[in-house]
Amino acid sequence: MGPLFDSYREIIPDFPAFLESLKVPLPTHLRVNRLKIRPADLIKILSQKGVEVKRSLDSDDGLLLAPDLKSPGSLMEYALGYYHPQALTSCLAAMLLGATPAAFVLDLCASPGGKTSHLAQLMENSGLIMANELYTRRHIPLSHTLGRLGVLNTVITAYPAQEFPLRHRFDFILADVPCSGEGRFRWTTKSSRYEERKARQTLYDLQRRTILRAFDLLNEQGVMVYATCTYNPDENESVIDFLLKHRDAEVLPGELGLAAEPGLGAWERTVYDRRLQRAMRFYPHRVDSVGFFMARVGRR
Amino acid sequence: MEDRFGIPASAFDDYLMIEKSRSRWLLRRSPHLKSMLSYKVSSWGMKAFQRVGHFIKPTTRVIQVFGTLATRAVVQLGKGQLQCMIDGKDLYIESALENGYVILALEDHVLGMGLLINGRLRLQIRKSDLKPLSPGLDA
Repeated sequence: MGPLFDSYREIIPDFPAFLESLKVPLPTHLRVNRLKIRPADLIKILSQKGVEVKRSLDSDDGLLLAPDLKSPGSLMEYALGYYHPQALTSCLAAMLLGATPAAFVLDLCASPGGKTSHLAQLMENSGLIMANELYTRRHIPLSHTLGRLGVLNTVITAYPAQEFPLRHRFDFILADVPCSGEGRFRWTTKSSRYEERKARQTLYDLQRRTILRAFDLLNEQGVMVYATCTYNPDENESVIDFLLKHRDAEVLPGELGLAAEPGLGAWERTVYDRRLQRAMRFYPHRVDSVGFFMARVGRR
Repeated sequence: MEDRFGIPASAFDDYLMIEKSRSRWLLRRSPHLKSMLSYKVSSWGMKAFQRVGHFIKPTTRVIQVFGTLATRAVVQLGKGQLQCMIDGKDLYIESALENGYVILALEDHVLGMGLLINGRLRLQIRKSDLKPLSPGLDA
């Protein structure tokens, strides 16, 4: 496989197993849309169609692994909004945020809407979600996802996340920021290529500005989740460390019932704030899904 | 919705209806809504109705949510009939229903809208949504 992700050899535990896991295609995970159907009813319908599923998490019967379902968008139940094909680790962001019914929620980088619709589901379609997405062309898949899944508590805006207007404060904020997307990479075809640490300084700057703005938009008792689908510490721990240095912020503990590694204590020549250990890293050889980083943050 | 489909008006009590051009959008009421007035919002909730000529047509999405409450103007399709319509053919049915929009259902599932004119039934579902609705397509 060559030197793929070689600069992470020292920070990713059991690095050979990590590399091996990248040779396997991403499995199909489904999130049952409880706004429209109960998990047991969907499982029964799928079973009648010959689609076998099993629970992805002991703690949640609405997250399913469908190992043999290659085209989850081709079933009638998809069109009816009974489920959403979504990586297991992607589902964890909304769960970690823990948005409650009736809350005022901001999703800063919302398209294509998987996490937004999950938030709406957890909020039982109540309260209000501002789904922000700068690029209006990305409002099309966002609107499609929200509509198909029967989301009725969400408005869409198009502000730059790092300049989102400071007019009101929110109970919960999801900052699932643009990133280099390393966690999505799988070495499944000969043409699979990855340019390691392709992120550039402009992306790092955007992430830092976005997390500061997200924090400034948070209520006194508010909670935010910063998430990326990359392994690159410059886009993960470095960003949270930057926030801790510039704001009176705290990294909050979170429990998801899934194998997570703690955030890094250091990277290259940088030593991070010890509170970064409460952040979570998800690796494909520990959880067979997209690699993710998440940190739950509140005010001190 | 009440006159045509028997969906009680009270089903929409918790929602705000926002009219924009020929479309009406449905958004869950919330105390936070007044905060929205200071933002530039590009879409509000779910696109629920569209004016077509003199008629107000419910969208596929809104009927998939509220259609289960309908007590009339519902056409139960068989799998063969649905496939026929997805293949682009009109369906002729014997029905006492008045001409106009109808709700299409397959078993317990509300699929979307159809248009019934003198016994001829036409699908009113976007092409992009049609393919997965095909009952013949399993895993």
